[in-house]
Amino acid sequence: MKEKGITFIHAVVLSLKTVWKIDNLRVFYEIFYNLIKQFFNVFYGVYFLRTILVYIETGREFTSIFLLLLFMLAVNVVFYLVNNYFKEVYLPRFDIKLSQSVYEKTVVCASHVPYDRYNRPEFLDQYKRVLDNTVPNMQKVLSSLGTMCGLVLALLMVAVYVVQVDLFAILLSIFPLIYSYFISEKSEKYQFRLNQKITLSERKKDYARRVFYLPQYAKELKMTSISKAVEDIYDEGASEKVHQYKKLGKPIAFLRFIELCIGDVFIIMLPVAYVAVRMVTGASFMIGDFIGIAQSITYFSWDLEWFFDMLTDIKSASFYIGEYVDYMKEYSLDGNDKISSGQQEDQASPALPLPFLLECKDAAYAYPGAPEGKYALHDINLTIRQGEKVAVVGENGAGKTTLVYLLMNLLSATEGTVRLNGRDLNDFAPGQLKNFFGVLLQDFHLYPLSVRENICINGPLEDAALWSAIEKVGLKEKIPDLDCLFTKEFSDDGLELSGGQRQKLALTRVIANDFPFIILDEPTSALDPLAEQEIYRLIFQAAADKTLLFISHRLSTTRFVDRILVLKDGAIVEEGSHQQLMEAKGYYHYLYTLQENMYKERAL
Amino acid sequence: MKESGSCLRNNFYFLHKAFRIAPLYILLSVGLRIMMGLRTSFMSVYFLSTVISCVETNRTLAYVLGFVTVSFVAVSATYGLQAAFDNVYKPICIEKIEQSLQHTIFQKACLTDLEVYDTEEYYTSVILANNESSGRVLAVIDNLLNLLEAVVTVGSIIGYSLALDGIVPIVAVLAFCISFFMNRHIAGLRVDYDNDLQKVGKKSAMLHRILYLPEYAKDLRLTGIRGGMLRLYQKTNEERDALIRKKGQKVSRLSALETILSSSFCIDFLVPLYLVVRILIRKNLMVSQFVGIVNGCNQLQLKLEDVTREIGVFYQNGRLIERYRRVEFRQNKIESRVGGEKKAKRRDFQKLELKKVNFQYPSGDFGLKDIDLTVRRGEKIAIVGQNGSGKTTLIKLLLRFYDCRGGIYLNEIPIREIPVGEYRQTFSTLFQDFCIYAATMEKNIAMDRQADEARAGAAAADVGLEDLLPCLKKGLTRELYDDGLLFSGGQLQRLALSRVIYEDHDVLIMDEPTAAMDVVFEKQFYDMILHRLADKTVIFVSHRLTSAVLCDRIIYMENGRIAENGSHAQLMELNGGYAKLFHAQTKVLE
Repeated sequence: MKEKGITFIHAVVLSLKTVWKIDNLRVFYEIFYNLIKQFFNVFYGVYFLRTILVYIETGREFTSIFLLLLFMLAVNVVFYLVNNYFKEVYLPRFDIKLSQSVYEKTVVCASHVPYDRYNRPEFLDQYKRVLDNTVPNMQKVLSSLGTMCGLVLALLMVAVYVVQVDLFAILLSIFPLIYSYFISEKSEKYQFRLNQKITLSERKKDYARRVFYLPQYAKELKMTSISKAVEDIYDEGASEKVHQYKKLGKPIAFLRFIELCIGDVFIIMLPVAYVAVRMVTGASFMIGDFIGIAQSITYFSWDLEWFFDMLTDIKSASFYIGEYVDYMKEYSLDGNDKISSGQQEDQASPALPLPFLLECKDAAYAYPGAPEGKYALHDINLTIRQGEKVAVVGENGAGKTTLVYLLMNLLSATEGTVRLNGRDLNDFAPGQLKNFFGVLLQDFHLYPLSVRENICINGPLEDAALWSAIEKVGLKEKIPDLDCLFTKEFSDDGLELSGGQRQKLALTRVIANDFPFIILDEPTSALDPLAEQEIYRLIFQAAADKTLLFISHRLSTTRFVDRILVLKDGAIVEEGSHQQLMEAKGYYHYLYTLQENMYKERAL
Repeated sequence: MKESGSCLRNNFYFLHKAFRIAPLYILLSVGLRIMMGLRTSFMSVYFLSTVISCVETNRTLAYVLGFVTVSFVAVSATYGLQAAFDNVYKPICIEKIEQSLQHTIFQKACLTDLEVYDTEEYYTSVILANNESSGRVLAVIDNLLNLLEAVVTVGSIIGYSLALDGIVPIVAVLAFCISFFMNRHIAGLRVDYDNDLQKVGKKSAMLHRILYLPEYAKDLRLTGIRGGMLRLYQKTNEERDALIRKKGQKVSRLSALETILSSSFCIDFLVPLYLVVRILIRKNLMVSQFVGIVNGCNQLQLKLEDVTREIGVFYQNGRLIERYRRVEFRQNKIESRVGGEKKAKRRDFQKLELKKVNFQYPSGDFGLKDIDLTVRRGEKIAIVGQNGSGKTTLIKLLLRFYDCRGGIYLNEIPIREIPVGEYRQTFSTLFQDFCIYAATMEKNIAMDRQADEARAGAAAADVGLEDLLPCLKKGLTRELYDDGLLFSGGQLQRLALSRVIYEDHDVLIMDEPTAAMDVVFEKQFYDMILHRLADKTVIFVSHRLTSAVLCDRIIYMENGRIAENGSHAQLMELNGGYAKLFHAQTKVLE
């Protein structure tokens, strides 16, 4: 995995292989298209005009010229009809297939990425780049290769002609190329520096723009003057950009000027002047060859430059494809990553032996990037038996959510172990625990899919079971049918639920499916007291013969569990039933009475 | 035809906008592009044909070299100008144009009625207009300039050939007309086609967006949600495939026909054929002229391709601008000025009255019925009720995010008669879903571009953020600053509260402030409010009835009406809906 970046060849081979597997016609098309295109190019540019001129000068018959023109017309008609079909219909359809293939592979791999990577900006950047850049760059490699094939033909055609007429002309076309190579390298360096300098400015501008169009900011923009501060952020970005352009624009402009002079002025005008001078000084070319030679030199320079540009393009594309390869290598199942080792994913997970036992031994967790010795959780020793009801309480930031993540193996302990039936959670295959934990987290997400798909997260369920779960949480009137979508983005018929209703719907996931271990992280934070009471009743009913662990700030809910874990600063400081903890008069007792007192009326 | 008119109008509307901001830039661009157009025809037609005629007419070496050198210098000079313009002057001017337009849009966003955010229109038009319009102006300018350049080239080439021959320009114009009209038709088809594709594309874009969510990452590992996502993705792709098969074929046939008629037939076949006839049969054309014209025609053909592309862009711009204008000229019912823009002298708050207020959301969803309510100076009021009983809606009406039937009066003045920005100066709000901004901590407290450092510091200290006082000038979040401050949930809550203290408005509205707080912090929170903000009028909306207990008055809402109104003791005695809620919360499982 550590071997960063892949070779140029590797990227080309991978792109070709991917495309070939989807549809080998695509590769043939690319090659033929470019061969024909370049053939036309050189033919029209060098041979055609020259041939006609030679015909005219040598007094050929009109009919032969006419036939030549007619033949070219016929070739054109066929070419455009076929090619446009490919361009407008075949290629877009192929692109869909390619995107889909890459997308699926990327997404499947994403399920093997250890969750804590999502807290690291480097990973998120890489992930985003892989998703955004892989397909366009594979297309780029393919089209660049195709173009190179065509260019080889073009260069050969030109060379064959020039060798016959005037060999020296070739040198003329190579000279500006070498010169322009150095210039463009230098100018690219400047351009790169400029781009780097303005990245942050662009980010500032984008950020400001986003604040003004995302709905969550709308209320505050209206109620406060923060809009001014955000506009300032935009202006800051804009003026930084202007500053950089003023500074770096001038050398870039100068280099660009030289490039343009070489690229256009020299390559187009010099050959004409060269041939003219030769003819005036006595060389005996025909006018046809005059055109032929001048055009040949121009074409040869251009095509050669183009050829090298394509090489550079492939090189830059191979960087992005390399990232894709690294990503796939790191997170696909046959990699060596510890979470991804194991069997095939999506395989029906073998039933876990019951009764189960989940235990933490000296478990600790430190978030990546946290200062040395700073643990979100430490010294966790804990055993949860099947059928137990456990509550976790503590202040914000005490580590409650981290503990839950550790138990579900979303995060894996940085020290110590978490074991299920004696087997380290890290040794389970990624999909294997899917049917084990039924989870409702604080930051649950409802997907813009149908109601059914949002609930049946672990495979299909009967409609009747779905409706009964929906009815239990009290959403029956809100949902017209199971297939309506959860977003208004595509049509006004989409469902729009309030925060409380969304929380209830997320809870139906847990109720409708049959999970042995239910984990809830503040399941009622957005609900009113009556709904809260109802939901807790439901949870306890649904979890009657199951294992239940929940986090709650509402301490009255914790009175009826078998065991309460009290967390403070990342450690379990008290453990026991409500009665035991109240009698101990410790931290739990303090929290409990604090809350109780707040419900007692007091004088203002 | 009508559509072309509106396209033209829309494009020039944007051009006009840009011209007002940077007139010199536009004028210079026009000049430069005319020069570039002429240069193209010079290099491809005039230069070559002149040199050949020198050879044909046996001119001296000095003459040839002289002509070539002068041409070299002249052409290089134009490139010099172009490079300087494109790499220094242009990006700076464009940045300025973009900036100026963006500010207009920002202001527009602050003035958009909140109800716009409730509809699908929001997702399409508003985001599009806000996010894309500045890029669109640049696209319009470039598009028009490209067209100009192409027209200059085409015109000068045709002019050149006209001097030598009357027929070739006619053929060229014919080719141009075929290409123009067919392309206009194709562009129309394409815009529809693109619209359809975009509609489907929106779904894939959404699927991509979800992939980056950490919530999704969790579900991906814990559930089988991936299957649903992949199915939706496949379905979307099938829709797109079907669309391409249906509409792409037609476009492909038409565009092939266009190329064949205009370039293959007219330019590559008719023109050389005709010229050969002139040379061979009528013998009244020089070879150099022949080369000039044929080369000119090739250049013409290239330019026709440019024109084709640019006309497509022109139409597309026209349509997209139409949408932008719809947003720009949308009449806002409520918003008239940026909230809190003018620090107009605030009237002292005496009372706020709601008389017979009735309200329904534009979507027809539930609303409020017959609300009568008076809030007096210094009162502490709690609004409670079940989910969906209308609490949040009531707050939105109080802040005048929506207008309602019946009357709301501030100090006995109907609020519709007070400029909305000024009216809102009465309130400070703490929303549960408050946002933090990638600006300095003090700006995040002041919620303004200028922060009074002493007051911001005092506000921070008041809410228990003393430790962070040295960081007041540091930026928040890592979004724009590599060493940005990262606040914990509790610190963020405190920060939000400090805003209210800093703002020091008369009426505080707290929408679910404590939902995510732990017990210890909730207690501190109430203490802060009671001590620091004792003289303020406070309106709480909360499921946590701890807030209700400490208020003077409790408004209990049910189905959009005020069902009970009184102190905690009174309502408990009444033993109605509020008492039921209270019992439910204090003894959740009994």
